Amino acid sequence: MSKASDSILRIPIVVAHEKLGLSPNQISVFGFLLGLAAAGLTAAGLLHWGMIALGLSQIVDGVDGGVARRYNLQSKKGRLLEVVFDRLSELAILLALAFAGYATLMMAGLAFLSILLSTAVQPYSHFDPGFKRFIIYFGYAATILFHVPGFQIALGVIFLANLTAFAAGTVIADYRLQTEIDRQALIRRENERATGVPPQPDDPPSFLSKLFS
Amino acid sequence: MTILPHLLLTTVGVQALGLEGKDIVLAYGFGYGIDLVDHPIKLMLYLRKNGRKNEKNYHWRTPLQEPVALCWIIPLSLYLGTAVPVLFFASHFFLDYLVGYEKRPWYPFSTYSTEGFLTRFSDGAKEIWTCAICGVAILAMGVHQIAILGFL
Repeated sequence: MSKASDSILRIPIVVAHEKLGLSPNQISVFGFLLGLAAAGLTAAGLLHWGMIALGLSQIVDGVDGGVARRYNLQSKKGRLLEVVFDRLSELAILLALAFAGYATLMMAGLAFLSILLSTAVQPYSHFDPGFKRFIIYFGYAATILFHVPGFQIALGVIFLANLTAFAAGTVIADYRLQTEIDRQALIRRENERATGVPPQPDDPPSFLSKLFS
Repeated sequence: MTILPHLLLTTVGVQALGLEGKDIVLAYGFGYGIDLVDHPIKLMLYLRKNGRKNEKNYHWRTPLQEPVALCWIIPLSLYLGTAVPVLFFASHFFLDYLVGYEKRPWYPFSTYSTEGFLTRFSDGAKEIWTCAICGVAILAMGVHQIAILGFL
């Protein structure tokens, strides 16, 4: 959840902190417990209640960040706690879907692995595909409305989107590094020119450049 | 390495494993085509820094063709139910690590860099030997297949 959701969740944010006196970390724990409840209900075959609990946990997930931002209570520990709880509740719901027979265990495992990969690269790339739980809701809608294996398809989408995010994230991080290396090399070259240091000899022409020259 | 050894080694792999249909597309995609996606990403940076001048040691690889890419290629292979992407991608970076220019195998998770292996031999010699070995293998397998067809 982001700053954009803060205005939508303004009332629960105010109520949670000012009326109930909850800290962002306490709200994160509550959201995590709701996520586990969603997984438990889904695994027990109560799919509709499971999806409702998942939706509630997503709202609570937005409230903790909103409280932290609104009341300036952001901390490294809080951010880490939110990421750990998010991943654990995602693991729980994916396993629950597999346990209830809505998706294969292989697909659930691959989807979770891809989520872990995109989480691992996110600090370097600052790129997160997000929308994981929304895709699960689409899977639910497809299963109910069209009687297709909606969750299996949804998990496939989550897997491919997060895998793409990981691959793109590594490229973005590398591109940034290379841009910085080149910038420093150009500054060094300019300095050498200014101070009269003889430039480094160029590489000999390659076979291809000779061929096409 | 340049395009030719990658192309030849991929062809050897396709012939040796007797791949067909979708697997051939995956084999050429991961054994050879990955270069065609990877290098254009950094082409703008290369041109901005070096212009049209040849700078052999410029790092114009991205993590798409480094071993770190196995993190996404192995799960993708499991999803597709075939080991072809992993095998042919491994053959691709094996050839790249034979030639001696800077590589960052685990970036962004590690800034460790290496020039690969067998660095005391010339890159040109390694390219020629690779092409020669692969060329002979392709011919040998081709002759073998023609012989089998002849006996039938």
